[in-house]
Amino acid sequence: MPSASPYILVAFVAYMAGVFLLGALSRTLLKRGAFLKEYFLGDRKLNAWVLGLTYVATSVSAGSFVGFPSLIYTNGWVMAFWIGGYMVGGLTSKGVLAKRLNQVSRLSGAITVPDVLRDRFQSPTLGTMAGVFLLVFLLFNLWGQFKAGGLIMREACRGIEKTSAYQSARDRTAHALSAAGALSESDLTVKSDSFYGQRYPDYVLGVLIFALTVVAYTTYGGFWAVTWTDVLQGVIIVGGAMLLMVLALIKVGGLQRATHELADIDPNLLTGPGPKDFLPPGLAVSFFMLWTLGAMGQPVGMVRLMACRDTPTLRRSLFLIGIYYALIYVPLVITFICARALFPTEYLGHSDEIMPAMALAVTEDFPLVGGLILAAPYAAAMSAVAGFLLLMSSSLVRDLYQRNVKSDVSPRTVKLVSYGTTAVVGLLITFMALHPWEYLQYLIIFSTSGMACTFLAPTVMALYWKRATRAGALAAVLGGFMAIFLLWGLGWMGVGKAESQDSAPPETKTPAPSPPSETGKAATNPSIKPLYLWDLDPLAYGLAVSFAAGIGVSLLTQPPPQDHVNRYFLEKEATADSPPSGLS
Amino acid sequence: MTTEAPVTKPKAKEQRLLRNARREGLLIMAVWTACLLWNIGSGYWLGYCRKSDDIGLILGIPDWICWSVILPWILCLAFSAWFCFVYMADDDLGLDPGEEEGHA
Repeated sequence: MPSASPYILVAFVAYMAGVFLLGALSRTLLKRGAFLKEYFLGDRKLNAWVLGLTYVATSVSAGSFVGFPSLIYTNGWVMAFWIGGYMVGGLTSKGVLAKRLNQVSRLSGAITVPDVLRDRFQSPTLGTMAGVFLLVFLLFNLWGQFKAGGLIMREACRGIEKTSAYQSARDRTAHALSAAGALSESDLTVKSDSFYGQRYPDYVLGVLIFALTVVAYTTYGGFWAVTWTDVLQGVIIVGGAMLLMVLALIKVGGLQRATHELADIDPNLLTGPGPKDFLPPGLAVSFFMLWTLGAMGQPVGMVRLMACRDTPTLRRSLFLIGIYYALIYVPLVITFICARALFPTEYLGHSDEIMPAMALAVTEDFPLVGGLILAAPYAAAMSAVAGFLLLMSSSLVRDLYQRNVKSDVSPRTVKLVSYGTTAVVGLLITFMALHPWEYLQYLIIFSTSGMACTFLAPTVMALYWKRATRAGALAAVLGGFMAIFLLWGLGWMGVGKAESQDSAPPETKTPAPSPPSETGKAATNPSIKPLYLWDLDPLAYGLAVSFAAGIGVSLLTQPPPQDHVNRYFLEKEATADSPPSGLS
Repeated sequence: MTTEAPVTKPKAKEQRLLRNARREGLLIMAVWTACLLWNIGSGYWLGYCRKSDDIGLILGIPDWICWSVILPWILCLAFSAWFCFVYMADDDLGLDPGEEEGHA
């Protein structure tokens, strides 16, 4: 790893100060309007630039800046093919649902996706079930994001590792971990590559700093804090990716030279399916679907579509999102092709470290810039976490508490419950992140496909199909959820692993964590992969099952009440008014 | 003798926003299908079925990546510009329950 400088942390601190300033400013916006709609939906007032940047910042997570570079470094140019779905990702993920979803959520006064489904299908059971499933998938996703945040902060602090203040904080952390039985003296003294070894207290410190900052500003400012910091983070993500590409090209002497270097290292780095049959055609199709249809079915993105002000805003932001994606992913591919040329073998065993390593390597002479570049992945993790955290608490407060336990609740109580749940959920994930899962990218792909398979079909049915019934929507939610769990569960149990071991899907191995009971022994169990039937990702099957179940069961059950359907599908003057669910 | 025609309620009309959103959504899905076929088809043909020695470079990028990813990506951005600024209709998104006209 190239040497780190204290200036990197200076840049980080400047970035964090900006985040907190925006969080504090956004707090002032919370003083007007209905609290829940303001706290969780920004009072539906997002403009085009803000909507575009917040959408991109939330969808570009730690996976994009840690996992994706690691895969480019390992597999070469085939990763441009792997990410190809993003060419139409902005259009599909937003253009198909945005306008209609925003309108339907206004019609019923819904502020969450389960809220929309509950009102459209008049089913509290559906709303509650959707809320619970959402919580399950978000929990897995946040677990991975917190781990990434901790790892990046650990690297950012390397420049001050020798200072007495850092040593003191580290010793206290190590002592607390030892007292809790999570770490033994030998783990701290024996030098090993194990995750639960000498550098584990540094990781824990990193997680604590990451959690403290992100939970604090999310709890304090709600949707506006997350949105405005997303804007800052979006600018840093795009700027960081572009700057890193330019510096990498200068360092390596041009893209032509880098690609020739790759051809000398391994000719498979230039062709499909890449080294070790990395991306068979079936998986390439699956990933095209994941980046487009999968993104369309993400509740965290849907909430931002519901928060949009008007259709001119939607049109402009739709175009901007396509530009942002191109400005992030194309530079990342070029940068880490250069990284492989610069470091032909150095990071092959621990390729998750290539992002910070590259940032430090190309900015050795001007570390402040290096810090700003390193802030990009941190910003990506932070913005994704903040969006998910808010979505989790909105699901708990609105979908489970207010709409099931107590609907007649004072605004003050709603505020307290909202702040409390955001903070408690944040704390819970922090504790989970102290013992993270080994494969970050798998956690993120699992939760992304899970949410898409659970929410896309019922949402499309709710918005565009009059004949869709309550039972059909329930079948779509349950079918998608169960298909995903079944295929991932079978994979975890080792089914089909013998024949599919070589056709490895995207594998992002982070420094190997193992359970606390196995301290010092890196977990090597590869059974985290799902079952890839005929080389297709579970997402393809989950979506097919969800749509088939939703359509089939709807056709087999009684059509929904005409008056209720008319309210969502016919012009206002021709429909009977039915009472809205209202907002608090 | 003339008789008065019975008053019939005009047939309920589908919402304008719904019609526009469906039309726009279908066009996007058609473009999605075209992109999928182009991306996977040309990528497989040019990048999976040739030896690395046969692959040329365009601006340092393997030619199969240029034809199957970069070129359609550029075309998609051009399509997005046309779709967002020419084709997509401006519709009234409505108001939240309890909000008054002119207060949104």
